[in-house]
Amino acid sequence: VNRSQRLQRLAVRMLYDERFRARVLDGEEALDDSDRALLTTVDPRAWSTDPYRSGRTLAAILSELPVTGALLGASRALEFFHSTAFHTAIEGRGSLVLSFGRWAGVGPIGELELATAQLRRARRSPPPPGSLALGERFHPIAVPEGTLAAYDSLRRTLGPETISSEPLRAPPLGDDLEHLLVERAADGSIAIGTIGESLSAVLAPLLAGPRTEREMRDQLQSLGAGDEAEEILRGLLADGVLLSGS
Amino acid sequence: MAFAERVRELPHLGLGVSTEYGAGSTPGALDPMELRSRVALGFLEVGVEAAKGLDEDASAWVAAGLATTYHFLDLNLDEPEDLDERWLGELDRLVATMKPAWLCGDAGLWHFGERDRGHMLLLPPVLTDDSAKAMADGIRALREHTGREVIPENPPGAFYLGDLHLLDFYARLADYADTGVLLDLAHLAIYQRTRGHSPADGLDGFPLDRVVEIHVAGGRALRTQDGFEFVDDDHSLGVLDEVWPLLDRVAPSAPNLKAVVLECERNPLAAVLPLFDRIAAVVAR
Repeated sequence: VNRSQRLQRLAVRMLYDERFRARVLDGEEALDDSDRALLTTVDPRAWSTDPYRSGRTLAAILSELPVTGALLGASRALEFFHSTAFHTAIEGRGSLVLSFGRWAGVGPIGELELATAQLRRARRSPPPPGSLALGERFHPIAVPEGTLAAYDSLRRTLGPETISSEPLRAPPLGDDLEHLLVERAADGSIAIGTIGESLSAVLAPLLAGPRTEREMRDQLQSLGAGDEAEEILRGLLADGVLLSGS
Repeated sequence: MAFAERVRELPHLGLGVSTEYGAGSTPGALDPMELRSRVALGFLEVGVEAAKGLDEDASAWVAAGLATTYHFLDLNLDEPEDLDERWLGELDRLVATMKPAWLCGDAGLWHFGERDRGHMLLLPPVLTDDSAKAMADGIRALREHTGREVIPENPPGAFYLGDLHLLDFYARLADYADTGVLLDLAHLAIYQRTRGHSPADGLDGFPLDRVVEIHVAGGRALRTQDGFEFVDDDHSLGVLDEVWPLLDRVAPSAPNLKAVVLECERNPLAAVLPLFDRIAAVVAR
């Protein structure tokens, strides 16, 4: 990161977070002296010419994570711009949508919605020869029973709104797990379907990275696939759920 | 080949108008084709994020075989990671379709982090020598990739960081990248107001032979609740008073000037015609 990039990132953080800005201008943030000197030459009022900046950005984030925003409520959602998560995302060139989704902490329903956002951005490299990886259009997730139904219900309740002043309440979820596969279609649309526990057990470890074909076959056999393990793998490859490094 | 030679090969486009993706869908917005029937319009400057592609108005213009320039809206020239494979692929497709005379765009911060939802904004560059060098690297890389001139523009801002005068910064950038400059006179006027300078401050030492394109646009003078005065660069019809004298001074003194754009894409035809007449009169001198 060169100096101008460092200053631009500081400026962005100061534009969004007036509390951070005040700490910078008051000398309470540990900064390079020459950087602080440049920042303090600006008329302090010039940082707040756009009072709608945070609201616009939040609306953009919630266009992808509407249920997460609704479970938080507007005032709590706007606190994101004062959070360590926000500042870390700016400094690290991270995604605000993903950062917001992780920061929100609204439980399994939010985790499911975050998985859809992660899938939209998934760019996985082909695995090494002899290995298998998860296709970049797929994301398995295990959540408490009832999560998908609750998510769908909340989306319907929200309608075109992306946020309300009062947080919506999440319905109670079950004690058992439901195993879901989030899929991104060629046109970018997202579908969420239920999969079996065994398939989930095979696919979930691939979120951390590729595995060898041998490991995958062994796991399928240990899960009771027997002689059909090979055929199952071929089917998953044909559907693009798995990618082969060969 | 050096800029001084390359610029001779650039076409003289004359008077142009800008468009941004979807601008034509604003009620009462300008139709570039209709404008062309009323004004000696040489080209359309197409401002678009590479992923969006061309809208209906731009597509119609290109399909008619008319001249264009491409104005990027999503490129941080000082970040090498911004020239990623995906963006360059989208750009290549646009360039192949449009065959723009050159590429241009604000040399500033178009987005923070990766190009992602909610990351867009436009901040001016940090006005330091290091920043000019980093942007020059981006200009050279993009010029090499596309085989076309990449002309940096001075962006608007409510504040400017850095110890260089804006014109000194762009003179250095042009020198380091060996390129031309797009001088946006509205943005220049905004800078001079913000820094408390006179409108033409810094022009005496500026290499006007680097100016390939000029922008003229309207803006709204606003004031925050605590009394800070700034200009919203909204491309409205209210051209700041100091822009016209700047045009009078710069246009006749810029030997490599190829194009002058009025940025007015969301305004009705009848209202913009007098502005085009006024600019045409200056450029014709």
